[in-house]
Amino acid sequence: MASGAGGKVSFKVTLTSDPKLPFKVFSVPEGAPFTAVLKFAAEEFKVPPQTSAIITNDGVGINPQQSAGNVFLKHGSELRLIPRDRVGA
Amino acid sequence: MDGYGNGIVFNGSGRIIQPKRIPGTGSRILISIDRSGLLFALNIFFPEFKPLPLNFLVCGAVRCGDRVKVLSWENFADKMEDMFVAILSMLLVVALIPLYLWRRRQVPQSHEQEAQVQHRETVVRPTGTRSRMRRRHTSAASTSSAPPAAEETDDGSDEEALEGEYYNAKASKKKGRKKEERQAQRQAEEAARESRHTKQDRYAEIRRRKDEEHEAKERLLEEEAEARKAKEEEAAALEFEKWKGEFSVDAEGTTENEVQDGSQGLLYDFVEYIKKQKCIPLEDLAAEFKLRTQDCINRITSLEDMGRLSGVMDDRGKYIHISYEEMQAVADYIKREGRVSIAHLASKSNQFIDLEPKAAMITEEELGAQDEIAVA
Repeated sequence: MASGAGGKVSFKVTLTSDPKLPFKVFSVPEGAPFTAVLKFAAEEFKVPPQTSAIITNDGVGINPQQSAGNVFLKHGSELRLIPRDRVGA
Repeated sequence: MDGYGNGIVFNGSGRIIQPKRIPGTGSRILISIDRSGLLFALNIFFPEFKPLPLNFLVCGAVRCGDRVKVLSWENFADKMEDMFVAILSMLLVVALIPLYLWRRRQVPQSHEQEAQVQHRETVVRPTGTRSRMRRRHTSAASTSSAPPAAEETDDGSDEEALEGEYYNAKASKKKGRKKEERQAQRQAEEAARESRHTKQDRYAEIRRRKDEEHEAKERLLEEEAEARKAKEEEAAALEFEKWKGEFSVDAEGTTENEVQDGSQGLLYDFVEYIKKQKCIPLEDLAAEFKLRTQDCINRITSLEDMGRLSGVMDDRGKYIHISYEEMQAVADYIKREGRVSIAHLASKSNQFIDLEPKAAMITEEELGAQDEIAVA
């Protein structure tokens, strides 16, 4: 799932609030702010971006105030999109 | 000095038998007696110019029979007269004082009726001073209206009237002062109340103004916060629009099928996998089932507690599954032998326990009850 070619990184984001667990793989520039990635992912999954958060498969929260490249480096490419009221649950 | 005569004292008086010169009445005679020295005698009974034996009163410590001798005399007839006049005048004055007092008492009684009418309106005074105050008032009234001739003649009532006037004036002054004080106090209280009210109103006004300012400030802050938030959102939206163009979706799908297919028998598979493998490193097991190693250990422990698994955990990170039958076989052997060494038991156990992985194994546990366990 991970690829660092050409200044772009890929993330496989799974929407865990949906029983079907749909996922999408996004290819985003390394320097893009992760807030934009979060918003893009939320829009793709048709959930409100203001009430969504991205966490790792281990349930570790990701601070969106960093670049996509940093997130990829720190947390990997397997991510989950959750509604914000379930953060930490 | 000698030659005025000798005498004999008897019963307090003396007599000069042969006076050469007869002193006048009222003369003071200096006489001597043969016993106790000098003493004075007062002769007031001897008439003037009469050649009578001198009778004199002898003062001092003389006895009857003492011989006396006139040494000298002083004529104090004039002085006596003066003294007499003085005594008389004193007696007269002494007699006049009660007369004067009696007269004073007589005069107020005549004006009592007038005083009663006038004093009905006055304030109640102490009884001790009431009559005096009345007397004063009436005397003042009477003096104010009486003709000058009456005043001149009645000295006593004048004095009383003046005194009464004085006391009346004093009383009325006191009354007036008290009234003034009370009024002043009332005014002061009213003024204080008014000032208190105005102060309270002022404070309320100030408080209201402060509250309004506070509310206005809070409103301002809220508006600022909202504006800031809107600005941030706008900025974020702008940035997102900037980057959106560079995002792309490479693939999509769902993981539902995989999970659902495996979810029913995942635990079963887990257990079966361990049984098949017999001796498996925990890390491999974790990798196989996409769990963390610690999670695998926890699962195995739980399954052992449930009775679904039996085995031992190696300190090198392996789990060895030992079925109940194998354990029973080892136990039977020990019971049979009774007394067995560890080395012998270990070698014998290798026969009972088979550590080779089985590709497909049908054991009594597999044929036994299979619980439906939902995948966590």
